[in-house]
Amino acid sequence: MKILCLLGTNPYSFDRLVEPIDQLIALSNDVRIQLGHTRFDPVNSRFFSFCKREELVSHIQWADLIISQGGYGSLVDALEAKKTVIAVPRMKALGESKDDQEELVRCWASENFLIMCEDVTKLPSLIKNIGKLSDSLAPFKRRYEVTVQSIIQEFID
Amino acid sequence: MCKDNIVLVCSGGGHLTEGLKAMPDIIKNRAVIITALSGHNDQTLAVYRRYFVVDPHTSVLKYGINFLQSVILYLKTRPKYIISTGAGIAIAFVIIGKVFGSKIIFIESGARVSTPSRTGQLLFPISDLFIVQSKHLLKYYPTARVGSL
Repeated sequence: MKILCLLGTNPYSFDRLVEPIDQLIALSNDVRIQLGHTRFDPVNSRFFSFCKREELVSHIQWADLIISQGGYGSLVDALEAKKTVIAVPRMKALGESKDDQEELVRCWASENFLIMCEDVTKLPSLIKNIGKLSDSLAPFKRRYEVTVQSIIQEFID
Repeated sequence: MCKDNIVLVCSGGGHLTEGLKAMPDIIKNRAVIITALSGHNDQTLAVYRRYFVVDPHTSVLKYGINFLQSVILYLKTRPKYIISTGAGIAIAFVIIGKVFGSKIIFIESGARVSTPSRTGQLLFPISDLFIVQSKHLLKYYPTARVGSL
């Protein structure tokens, strides 16, 4: 399976997610990792820190499965491309982020947009069962009909 | 006197993605972007007039540098409207803008479902239009509008 791991632009390192992906998962899957600011050198995966927007879009299109940090930008990019997403929220208490990512991931997991994973040791078994898990996911959609764009346009006019 | 510019000031990454999405298409040709240099966003933003400032994160020194950069850029752009999605990088520019007569539009991050952001709480009192993407936040921002990106 082709797996893309997204760590976004968060300034903190997220070794806890990258290590099992490179050490276990890359051994039996084709894995690419967008490292961001994470200080870890993958051995088994193709990796890059950042890339141009159109390259990111292309990596997302390539993937069968996306395993992402719980950042809003990373998740929306993956979900709008209609990909199956496993989201691993960064933990503030472990120094992985200044902001909590659990709130958003839990909310979207409860709406069945993505699969939440807090314990990275469970990743291999989630991947093994991904076919069945992704059947229960719902298409990503806007929460409200009114758009932010239209609110701003009305205000500016 | 404010010019017809609209400045979008925000951090890189998801904040910038949200900010660009939030801008109505008809104003994009007069938008000026102020953000942090992050990844390849210099190339991504090549179609816009753009400036890069220091992202302070938690550094007091960097907040100081950001403040000076914000003063210079405000005098250069004199926007009628300032749009921001946060975070700390935008605080100085927004406050300077409010003092000098710009209208402030703030969009709380889509990542905020039930708890408000620090920047949002700080800038809500001076925002002319405050938008949240979850109705659970109305208890913190009672006059906010609710919408989706």
